[in-house]
Amino acid sequence: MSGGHVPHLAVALDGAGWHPAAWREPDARPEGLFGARYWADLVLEAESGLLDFVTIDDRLALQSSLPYAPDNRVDQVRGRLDAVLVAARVAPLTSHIGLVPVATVTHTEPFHISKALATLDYVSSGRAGWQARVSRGSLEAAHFGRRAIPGTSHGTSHGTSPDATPGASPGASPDNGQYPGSVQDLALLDEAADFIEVVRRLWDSWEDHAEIRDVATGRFVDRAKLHYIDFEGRWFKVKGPSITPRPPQGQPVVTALAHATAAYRLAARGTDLVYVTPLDAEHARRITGEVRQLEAELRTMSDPIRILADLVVFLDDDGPSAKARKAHLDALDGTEYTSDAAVFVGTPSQLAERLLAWSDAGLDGFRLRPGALPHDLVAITRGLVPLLQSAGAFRRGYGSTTLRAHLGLGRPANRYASV
Amino acid sequence: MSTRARAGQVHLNAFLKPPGEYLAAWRHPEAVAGAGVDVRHIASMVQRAEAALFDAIFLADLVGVPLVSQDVLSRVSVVNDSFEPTTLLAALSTLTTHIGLIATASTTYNEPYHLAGAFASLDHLSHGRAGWNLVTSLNDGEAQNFGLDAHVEHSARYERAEEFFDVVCGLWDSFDDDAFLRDQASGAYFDPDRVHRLDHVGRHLRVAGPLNAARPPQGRPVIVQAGSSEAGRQLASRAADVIFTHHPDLGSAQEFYRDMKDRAERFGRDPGHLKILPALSTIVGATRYEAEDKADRLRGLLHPAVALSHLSYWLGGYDLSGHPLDGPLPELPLTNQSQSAQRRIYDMARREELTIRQLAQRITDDAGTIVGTPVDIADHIEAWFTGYAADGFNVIFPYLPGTLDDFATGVVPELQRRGLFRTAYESRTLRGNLGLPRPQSRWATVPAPLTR
Repeated sequence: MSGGHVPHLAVALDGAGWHPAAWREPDARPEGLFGARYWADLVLEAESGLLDFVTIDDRLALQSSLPYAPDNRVDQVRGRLDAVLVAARVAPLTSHIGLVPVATVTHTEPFHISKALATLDYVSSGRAGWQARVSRGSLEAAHFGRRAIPGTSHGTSHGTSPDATPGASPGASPDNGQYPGSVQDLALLDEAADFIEVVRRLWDSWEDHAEIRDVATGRFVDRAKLHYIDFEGRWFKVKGPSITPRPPQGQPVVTALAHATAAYRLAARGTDLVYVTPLDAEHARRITGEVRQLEAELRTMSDPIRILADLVVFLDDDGPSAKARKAHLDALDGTEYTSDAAVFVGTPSQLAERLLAWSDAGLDGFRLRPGALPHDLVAITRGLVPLLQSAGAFRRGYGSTTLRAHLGLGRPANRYASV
Repeated sequence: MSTRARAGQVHLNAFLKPPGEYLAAWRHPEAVAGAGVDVRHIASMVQRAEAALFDAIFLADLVGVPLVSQDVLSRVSVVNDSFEPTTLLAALSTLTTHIGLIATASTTYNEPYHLAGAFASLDHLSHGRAGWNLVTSLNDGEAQNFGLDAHVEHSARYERAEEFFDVVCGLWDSFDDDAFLRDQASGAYFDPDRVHRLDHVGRHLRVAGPLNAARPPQGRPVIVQAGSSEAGRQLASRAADVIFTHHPDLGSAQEFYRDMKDRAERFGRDPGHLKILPALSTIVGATRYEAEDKADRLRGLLHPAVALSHLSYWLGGYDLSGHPLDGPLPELPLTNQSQSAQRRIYDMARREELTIRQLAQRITDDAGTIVGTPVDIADHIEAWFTGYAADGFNVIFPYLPGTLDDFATGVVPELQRRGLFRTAYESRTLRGNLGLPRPQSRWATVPAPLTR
């Protein structure tokens, strides 16, 4: 291996792994999915591999193998813990790795989400991020009712994938390779863009040194440094300020998964980092080109957007073993596992070559979705990472303590601060 | 000990509001700068409360800055800086092992599905130590962060809260305790006969269910409620495991206690499973002189404008600036905020013929704070406990960490000496320590084994 560099490497954690039969692997711990220990062990493992961050998946409904309806399957993992709380629970046990929970924007309130993520940033001393996720269709909408949801003509199935939106994470759901474009999808993305904007404004609604705590004059807060955000859009009306002071990173890292132009647009405008799903190096080049183009047109934030490619990985010491393991899992599940992201089956060394080859395509790094946990995570931290390190392609130690700093993002100026 | 009029022991909750409940607490020489968002400081206080064997700690929450004068807001810390409490409690659960973890969450501006998932998760992550203080939101500053111009009207708020509670409890019962089989060999992850849809369609909410979470370790996280208006009492006596309340004297606390236990019984509940915890604010000294001195030094830190605004807030945001400070409190329109607080303050002003200035001073300074020695405080606790005015106390700390430390090192040992408080945790769950049974699922067909 030579040339190439993998500046950023992350892992996406979900249940027992991304393969729906992963919980049946001999080393799986399905009984641990509702316990703190399981998640702490995984995140500590990821931290031992010096990864930039982990994402923790979430959604506001039971998992289903069908896009818009509950299914009848009883042989797949169902149920999960709230991802923000899992991240907060493991924060005191870790010291460097970024913690990026999924939080859905479609049925929640930006005020709550902004406070929760700001709090996560405090309890992790500046390691919080957020994967903003859009929820399409009635599967989740059936549990909610207060806020009018754009495009909830229930069952908006114009052949669009439920996962083909920012933050929508495939896994148990089948992917039919078609991506959004319907009016409803665009409305959901518009709503998501406003949601992110409200959250960002709330994080800035306190200037950094708003708390002056001047005992002599009796002033606790300099009220001139607290700001109404007065957001009024099609979906939200939020006055502010937040009740939580500006988080340690100023702005925790906002991320989203995107598969098509409308979502790239949202990402380029409002997020710090986007996950994309190229199928090969040429595809990766086209996607990064498109994202960079949109970024040049739309972006007002000072730091460039980071682009990470998602891959589902099944890793073993030799290729045939990896193929056999994947095939065994497929047989258990009764279908061949495919995903919106490329599925890699092979050795850590082959994966290292693949990543280095792809990194020339304008990517800033990768987010790997382990097919089975802990097996494929351990293969990343103890197999892939040392190989990348010996090729001089990945960090040998954390050089910083905040997630923004790991990603080379500065601490942003506050939009409300007078210079 | 055996001569005591009432067997059993008191339960103590620590209401942590750094840097302290008193509005000028942040000016206290002992106060930690930035206490409201200093995670390490908050964690150390929770650990101190756990070392003192408190049943639980409680973190309040607001979802908006109250719309009062900027001058006043600049002078207080209490309403100004705080965390999202469930997220903070998840982190604190990592740093503790036994103490209960209670957070406020509003039924007015949340969705039950989201909230049920969050508290179920907190209960799983803490191994059965979660509690939910069910509130309806109070002020216009909150409404305006959720797309509304003004606060939701009092009765609609309670109506929604009642329905919200039922939905949340229904969601927690989505999966039977034994629904998850996780049989790797057969491939049966769960038993579909032990999963239940809710299909709730009500006046305010429409929720299909099931919740995407296993039944919480406690069956239900502990439910706390603090409303004491008529609507609040009905909700609390039906729904709550623990009631936080506030009474100026033994008589009114006894009346409330009797009333709530009677109401619980009328709902078919065992009144012993409703724990009533009046607020108890203390400043403790080795001698009364020392305690009074601590209290005087604290009161000296308060700005008069803050006292007046505080009074105005509790009267329902009624602007008192047009009335002479040394005149009587005017007749007031019924508030849309806390009606019980308004009534209590109004009655006190009339009964004791207080001027606005005196009343403001009283509301802020005293807030029922008992200033005395550990024996004085223990006497009060014992009198209220044996007098059936309380099953325990929601302990409020005028300034932190001083008054928590003084309570832990002075009052707790005195209570233990009298046999009124535990000397070790009975359980690792909050229900276990409160002496509450684990509720069985609404879908359970066989009575659950009696676990106390």
